[in-house]
Amino acid sequence: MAQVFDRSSNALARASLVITGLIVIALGVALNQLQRSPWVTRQGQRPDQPVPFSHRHHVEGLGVQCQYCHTSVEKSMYAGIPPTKTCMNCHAQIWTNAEMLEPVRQSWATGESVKWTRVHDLPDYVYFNHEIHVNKGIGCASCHGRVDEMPLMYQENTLQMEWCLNCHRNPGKNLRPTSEIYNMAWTGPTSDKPVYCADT
Amino acid sequence: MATKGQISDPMIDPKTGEFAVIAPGHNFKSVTEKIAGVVLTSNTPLGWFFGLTVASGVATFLVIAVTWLFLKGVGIWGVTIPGAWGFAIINFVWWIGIGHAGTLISAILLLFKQTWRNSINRFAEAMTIFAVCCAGLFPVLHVGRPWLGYWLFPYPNTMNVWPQFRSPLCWDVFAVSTYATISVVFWYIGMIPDFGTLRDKAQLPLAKYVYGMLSLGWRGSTRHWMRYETASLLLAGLSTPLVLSVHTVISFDFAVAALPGWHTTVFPPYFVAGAIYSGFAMVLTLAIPIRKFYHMEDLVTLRHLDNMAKVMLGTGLIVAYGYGLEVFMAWYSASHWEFFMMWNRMFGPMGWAYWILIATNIAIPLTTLWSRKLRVNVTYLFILSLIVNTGMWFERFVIVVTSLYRDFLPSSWGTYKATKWDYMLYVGTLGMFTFLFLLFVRLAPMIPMNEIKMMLPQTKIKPADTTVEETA
Repeated sequence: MAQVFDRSSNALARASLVITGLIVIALGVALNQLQRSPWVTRQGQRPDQPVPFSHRHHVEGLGVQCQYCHTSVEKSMYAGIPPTKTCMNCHAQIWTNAEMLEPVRQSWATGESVKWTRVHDLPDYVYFNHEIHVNKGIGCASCHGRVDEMPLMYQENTLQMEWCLNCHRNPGKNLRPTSEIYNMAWTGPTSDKPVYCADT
Repeated sequence: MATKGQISDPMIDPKTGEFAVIAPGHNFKSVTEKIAGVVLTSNTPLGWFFGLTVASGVATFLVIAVTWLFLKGVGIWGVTIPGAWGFAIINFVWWIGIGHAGTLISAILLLFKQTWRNSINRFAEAMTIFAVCCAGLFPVLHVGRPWLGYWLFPYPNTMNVWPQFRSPLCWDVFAVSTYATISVVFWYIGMIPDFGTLRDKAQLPLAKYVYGMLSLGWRGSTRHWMRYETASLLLAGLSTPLVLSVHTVISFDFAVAALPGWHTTVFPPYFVAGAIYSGFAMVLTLAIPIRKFYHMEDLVTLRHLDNMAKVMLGTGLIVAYGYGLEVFMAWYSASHWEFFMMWNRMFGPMGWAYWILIATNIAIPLTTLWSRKLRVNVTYLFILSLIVNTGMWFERFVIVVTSLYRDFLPSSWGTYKATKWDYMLYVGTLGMFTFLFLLFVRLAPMIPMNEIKMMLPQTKIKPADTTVEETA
């Protein structure tokens, strides 16, 4: 009677064990990537906006303070997106014919809001509060990255729960003087002095 | 084939006085031909096709019920706010309980060196696995958001959140998944030598190939057998505490709660006894038609049925003790709620369920199983096994529903009425179970050939002066 399996089956049988191991590893990597890859968290992705608003131009180039537009950041849960009025404070007279600003003028004329695309979009079961963070010494750059260097807005951090918890379990490393909250270029405490201590 | 109708024990060897487990007249070849023949035949019996058609038709209910459940949510069931657990949990506990007899037969009876387990071992294990498959559906389906079921597993995640290891429902996940895994491994290891036999006997190249793959190159060398036996014994040793702990964990789902009727320390052993009780009833429900249909009366003999009925009697008495103790403690505790719970169970709006339970679990089986005449009466045993399966279902119904719908606060009293979706899901799992079981009977050796052969006279040490005839 002929053999059911020929000699090559030995190699296949052994290879199948190795392949099983590799599949397990690949599954682990895949599951991790499905949770953490920037593709899933949308880190670094620059969604299209109705107007290609440049933070770099307005902050780094013109020196506009963060709260000039995001007025409610130290008083409210929401930092707020500036209304068309804020844009028109300047753009009623600057670049009045720029093609790029047409949606803003349109909004001003009709009263329809500009439909900005939200980049930092937490699920609605999270009740994030800007005011408490800003007033307790968390700077804008700690969570949002160097927004002053972003020509188009993107998400710097994962905004995942583990990221929040990492700071809430050990906030010291991210605290700064409240005078430096809006200083995008502020560098953190050194290893000699890991936690900032207020003078008062 | 001296089994039919003879009550005066035909299984006692007239020469040695030993109990024979299987009917005389078999040798290695006849055992192989008989058991492997069921799998390797090219003439699948029409009855099998009929059964498979019916079973898959019934299993369709499961698909429909689950689809509708996922579309509409758990609100399609009869669960309400006082009684938030209903059919899903009742059926879960029922199916898990059924699975336990399989492990008892394959593991505990192996540790006790009960050779009569050999004939019923394989399909009892198959029953375990398919019952666990059915049971495993319910914990997933009965949650409102089944797609988040994986949150019950401890895995590193971006939420930094882990399951609550103090909840018995979390232990259920570990208990049932371990139980399913170990049962499959034990079952599969047991089948490896038999797959080897099927590989060698098969005529079709495809069958040779498939069984060859499944037998993993089993050659039956002494070294193979030695390790096989050691592995079986170790697995039996591991499965035994497992089988006791799994149903214990399931009983904790109730016993850990503070509810009168649930918060009872007798639950762990009493649930395990009930599991084995209902499990053996299911083995009988399956074994009796199958031995008849495939003419296995000489391998699954009246002695097997008799022994299984005795185990049922034993575990049934433990269950009866459990019921008695519950009633006693309800009175002895002097707890108003405990007392009311028992009174409500017996004479409340759902008192009928309690009395069905007493009739089907205690009154009918435990009075009749003492009679040997009835224990070897195949028809009676079959009917009785169905009765006990019903009774054990009602036991879980009584525990789950009658404790929940009237508890501490009269303002939160309600009622429970199952909807057609509850019934469809339950009937659907019965269909799925039968479907899987029929596939198993057709595709795998339902009785372990190697273990049967160990009981044949050919394997016994022969006295020097006698020769045992070897028929080819």
